[in-house]
Amino acid sequence: MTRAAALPPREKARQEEAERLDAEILHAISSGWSDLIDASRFDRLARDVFAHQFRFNPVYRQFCALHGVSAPGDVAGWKQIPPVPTGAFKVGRWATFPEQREAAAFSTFGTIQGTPGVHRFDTLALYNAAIISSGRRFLFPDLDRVRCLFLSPSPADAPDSSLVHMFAVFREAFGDPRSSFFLRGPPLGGLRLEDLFSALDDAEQEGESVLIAGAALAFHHALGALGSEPRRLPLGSRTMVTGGFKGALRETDANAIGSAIEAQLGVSIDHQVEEYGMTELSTQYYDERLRTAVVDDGGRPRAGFRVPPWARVMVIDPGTGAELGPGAVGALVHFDLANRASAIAIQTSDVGERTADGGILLRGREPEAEARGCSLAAELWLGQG
Amino acid sequence: MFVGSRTVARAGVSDNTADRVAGLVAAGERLKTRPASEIIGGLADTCAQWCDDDWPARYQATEALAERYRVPTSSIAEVLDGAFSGWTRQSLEDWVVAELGDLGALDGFVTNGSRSRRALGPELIVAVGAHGVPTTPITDVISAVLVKAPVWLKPASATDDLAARFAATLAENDPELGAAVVVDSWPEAPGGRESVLAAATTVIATGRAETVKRMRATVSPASNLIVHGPRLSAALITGEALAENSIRVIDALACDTAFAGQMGCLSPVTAFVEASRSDVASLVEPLLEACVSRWASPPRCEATAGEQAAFREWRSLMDVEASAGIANRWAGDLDRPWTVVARSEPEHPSPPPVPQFLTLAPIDDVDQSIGLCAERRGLIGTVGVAAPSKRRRDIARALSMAGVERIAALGSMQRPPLDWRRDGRPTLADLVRWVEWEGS
Repeated sequence: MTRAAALPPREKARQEEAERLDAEILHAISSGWSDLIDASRFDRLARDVFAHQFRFNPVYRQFCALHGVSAPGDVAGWKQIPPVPTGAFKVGRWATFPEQREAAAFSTFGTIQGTPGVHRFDTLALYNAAIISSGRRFLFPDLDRVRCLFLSPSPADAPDSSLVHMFAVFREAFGDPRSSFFLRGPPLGGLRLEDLFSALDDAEQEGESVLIAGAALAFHHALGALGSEPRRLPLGSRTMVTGGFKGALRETDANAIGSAIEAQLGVSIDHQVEEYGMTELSTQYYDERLRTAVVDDGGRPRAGFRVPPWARVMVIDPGTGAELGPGAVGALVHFDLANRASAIAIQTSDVGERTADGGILLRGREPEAEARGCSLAAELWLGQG
Repeated sequence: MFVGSRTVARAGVSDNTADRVAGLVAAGERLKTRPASEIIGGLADTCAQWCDDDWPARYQATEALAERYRVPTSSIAEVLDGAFSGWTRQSLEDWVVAELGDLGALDGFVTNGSRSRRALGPELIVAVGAHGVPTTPITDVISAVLVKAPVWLKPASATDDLAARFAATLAENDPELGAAVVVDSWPEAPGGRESVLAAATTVIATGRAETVKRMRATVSPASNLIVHGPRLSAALITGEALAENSIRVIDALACDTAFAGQMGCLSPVTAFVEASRSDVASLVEPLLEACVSRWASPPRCEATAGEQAAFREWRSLMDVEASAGIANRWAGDLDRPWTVVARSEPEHPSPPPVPQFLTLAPIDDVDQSIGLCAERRGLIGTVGVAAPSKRRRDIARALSMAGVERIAALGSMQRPPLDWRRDGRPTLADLVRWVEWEGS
């Protein structure tokens, strides 16, 4: 009979604290959008997560010291939590837990030819809960299950992709048995066009609505391949486009994708959902056009990506770091409770503005800047990286 | 007096895209009846005017570019002189001979032994420009006209208008040459871009990977597509060169880096330095000052929100690395237009996080940097080398085997000869179609 070795006291304390925090955060996420976390509860939870990361990530502790925070108590509110750049995920092992506790890891795609970073998880419980909660609200508010056509490789072909993981969670939570992935994995890459066209034909003939989801670049290629053979997908079909808002495609191309989806797939603009996420975050943001169309009786959707109750986005002056009010363009800083095991506060070079009602409008990257993010991953999958 | 570029570029040409394209092709046919030496004369005379500081068109262009890039006119003058002074009658003739063997091959069959051959330029070239050094798109115009081909140059969006200004002066000096050049964005009418591209027999695409890919998808397989994709350049400084004269090395590196604000792919983004970490770190401040003195654009705090955000993220990353015990030294914060960082460990040449940014990488020996370049095969364009003469050949050989396309002396990276093999390929020879006549 074997006996598990006793955990060192510090690791035991870490685990207990992590479990306590996860339970609270999970409760907040699963409460969904009807029971919004009030400001004081979010603030307390955020500072608790920060304190946890301060204690169990020595590099972050040192980083905080450089930014004038020498103890968790120095932070009076969530807005004062020192944000780490996305590049931190490329430096050493950015996590609060020991290596042997690692349950999953997703790689980031940096600039072309750049070094990838790694977002490590000791549990996917928070991540998956965030994916499902937002997915239910913005992509599947009216359908229990639907056939999902993912313009990405399968999880087996791209196990280190957070986007593919998200799609796998969608398939599990919302997909019907015929849901499938239509990109070949590396090194071959490329769309499985015949299979995709066949799935589209099936949907047309059977009159069953589908979700098509993928990076903007993958849509770009799929729509190009459809060419002069448009489909009319059944009413209720929808698309989810991610990436392409940060420079992988020009703004005109990103807009053109919307028009092409409508013209070539028959999916109306109000059923074309845009998603904004990044590997370094566990939370995704969606626009609410579909939800407005199918749940809120077709009213006018609020502008911008909606931020879920367990996250906050602050727009700062990139020069001074001062918070900017609605309408002012600056750098985006994300505060994500679901990032309990990595970094609650993430500073990005994404530029955008906050709307008066709490939405986030992204501004494109510099025209000469290299592509980043999901569409860059799609480039690699499409065999064009 | 200079006339607005778009107005000049459109002068005499109908707004109708088909008519404009037909007009260009017809101008190209007229070009093919003129002797190559005459065409070279027209080009060289125009370029000579562009070397004259007091010539109104050059003066106005200098002022406009200085205002656009917010740098002193002397920095712009250096960019203009760097290009136009190299486009002389003799150098253009030499370029043709170097790539095609004989200037006469552009005029008719030239005999070599029992065989004759001639070189024919394309019926229409469409050149898609990229953000970069303002004079670079003019190279596409000159190379097209040199092989007697009409060209539609589509500049990068929101870029400067130097190419259009050049085209206008060419038209003033030699209307027939001018008629063979259009510098303009894609026609606004639906399908305008596609119809221009469809008419092209040769397309030169320069730019980011995305632009190049889009071109590959758009251009007809029947057209000759010449692609100039993204490239990075680097510098390699040996210990001997640094020890012999560090001031000269700093000057040469800054000269190559800061030329045209590092907008071109010939500017190094990384300098490998064969020296200790502390010696490399000591170069940071002098290099920063040297770059600022050459291209004194406004401080980064006046840059776009996107550039400032990227810089903020990079600066924060430096704090993360410092917290992890990685000792970098850098200079050039938001109050300066340039940033120079000495890394503690060598790294591959990579796209800089923001414009006007130089990375210094300490290396134990030259082989280390060559290995890093080899891992980026296909991406490294030029490497500027500062080394004693006895080591240069070995270094050049190793760099060539590592996939580097051009090896130059540090300080002359921005001055490749006209017939250099950009991206490892000839320029004019890639444009022409050879016709063999074996019964002469």
